Amino acid sequence: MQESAIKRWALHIFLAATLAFMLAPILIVVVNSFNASAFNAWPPHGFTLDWYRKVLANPAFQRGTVNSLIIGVISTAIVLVLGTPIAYALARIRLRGVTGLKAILFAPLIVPRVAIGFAMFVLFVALGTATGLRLYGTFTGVILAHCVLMLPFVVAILTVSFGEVDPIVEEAARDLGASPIAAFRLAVLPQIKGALLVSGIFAFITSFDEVETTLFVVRPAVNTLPVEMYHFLEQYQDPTIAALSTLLIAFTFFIALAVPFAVKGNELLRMMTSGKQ
Amino acid sequence: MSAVAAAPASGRRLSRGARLGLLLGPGFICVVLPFVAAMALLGAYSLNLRDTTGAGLGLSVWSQFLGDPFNWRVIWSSVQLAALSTVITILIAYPTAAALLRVRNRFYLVVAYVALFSPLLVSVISRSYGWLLLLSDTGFVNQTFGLFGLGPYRMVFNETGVIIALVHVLLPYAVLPILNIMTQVPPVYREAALDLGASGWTVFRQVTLPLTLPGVIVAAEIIFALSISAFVTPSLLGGGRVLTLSRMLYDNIGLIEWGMAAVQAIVLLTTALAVLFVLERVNRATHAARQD
Repeated sequence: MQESAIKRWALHIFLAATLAFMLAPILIVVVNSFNASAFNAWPPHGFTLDWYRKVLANPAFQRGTVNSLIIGVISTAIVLVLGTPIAYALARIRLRGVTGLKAILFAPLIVPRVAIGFAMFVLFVALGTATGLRLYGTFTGVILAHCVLMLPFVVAILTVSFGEVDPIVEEAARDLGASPIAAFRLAVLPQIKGALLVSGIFAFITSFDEVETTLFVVRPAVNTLPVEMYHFLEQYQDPTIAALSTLLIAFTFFIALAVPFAVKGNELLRMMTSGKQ
Repeated sequence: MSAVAAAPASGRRLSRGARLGLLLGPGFICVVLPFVAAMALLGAYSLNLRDTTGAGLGLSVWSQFLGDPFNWRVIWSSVQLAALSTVITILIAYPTAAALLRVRNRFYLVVAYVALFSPLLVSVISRSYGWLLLLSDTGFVNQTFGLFGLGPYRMVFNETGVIIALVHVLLPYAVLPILNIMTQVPPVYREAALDLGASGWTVFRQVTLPLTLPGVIVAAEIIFALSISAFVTPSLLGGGRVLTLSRMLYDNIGLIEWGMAAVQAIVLLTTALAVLFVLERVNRATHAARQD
């Protein structure tokens, strides 16, 4: 028995309205980045590229971008290197006590980010006075804080992926005389390439967009881009931030959509569209 | 596994415990340990470890915090804000997921997914700025209302704006688990109920909703935890006029009230956990009810 046409239409209209709601704030930012009015007048008073010139010439945003890229790349590399063996262990080795370790490992997902930020700040300051180790307001400190946030995500994605790899292939490689590392590299790694890529992208975007934890552990010299934007927006609301946002939106969409598509061809698209069956 | 381990090559193989240590060690020492130490230190600070009042180690900061009715009002309004955002998000997410299941056009489906998940790819600053533009007194929404002789309505620097912006970013987190559970309900259940003469509404109330409720609860757990701890959105859309626990915590650090900030961080975490605990109990209860 078919459901009524009215219900189908109602649902479709609802979906269209939801999609409009989801895209509205993003579209208005893009449109407003060309708005000639400094007071965000609506409808726009005219077309200008001045805001883009302002953004590109702004030293705080320049430094923030460089800092964010450095911090994002290094912390992504670190969590992938540290997270892969953890995920492998969780997927392969059954041992008592692992449940407790898991709970601690995944705790940063539940603890509010502001609380993590403040806790890391307290730790950095305490370590600084006790040992002279400089973490507060340094790249090392921000990278460590980002790793804390990113590690559970990376481990979660990779554990699922390792679970899908048949251990027999690796055992065979070992029996044929491969060292544990060679067996892993040749028999397992190629099968989790996709998951490594996805979790790497996910981790990088998390780091690149992170504000709530970062705010607590930075000092102006190492301010990341979103932190600079946050402070800017607290004071000014002219379209400068719209122009910068538009550039960032283009950048993140490129990384999140173009890169996996380029690497994995149409697979992602197929996954997306077949997921509903 | 044991057969392989017992093979002649076993000399090269480490025990499970040693392998576990080698694999987990680096990550736990470099990343997890600092996190645990930081959280422990947070607890110590809340017990006045960094003594600024001369009261010594103890519960003085806690009693100061809990004794002030203003703090209770902030806790209560944070919970209300998060609860309201959660309910509205679920009410939008549920029909959205149902509609997504009925989309047959592949291209439209891809567009829909990209649009739905776009907030996750856009910086919270950009999103908040977008909502400030849309909702301000002379912004797009009020201008559109004006065409019909309505408004202007005040929607920024108050709770309305904060909730709208929160619902926007929380929606993808709600749609995913609900969609996931909807695909697991066999369509024959609904068809059978319809064939037996139940009205569409009865089928929804007695078949579809109970079967998809676990997904709704999971979604509510995720969303509530995220919205109670949100900081940037309430700060920017609230313009400092919507006071939340997370905002208070941030302000206290500026005031170097670290003990107080530590207490607030713990209260924030406890509130989030308490609600998760309650929802988890509800989840178990509905599970049990369905088994009967």
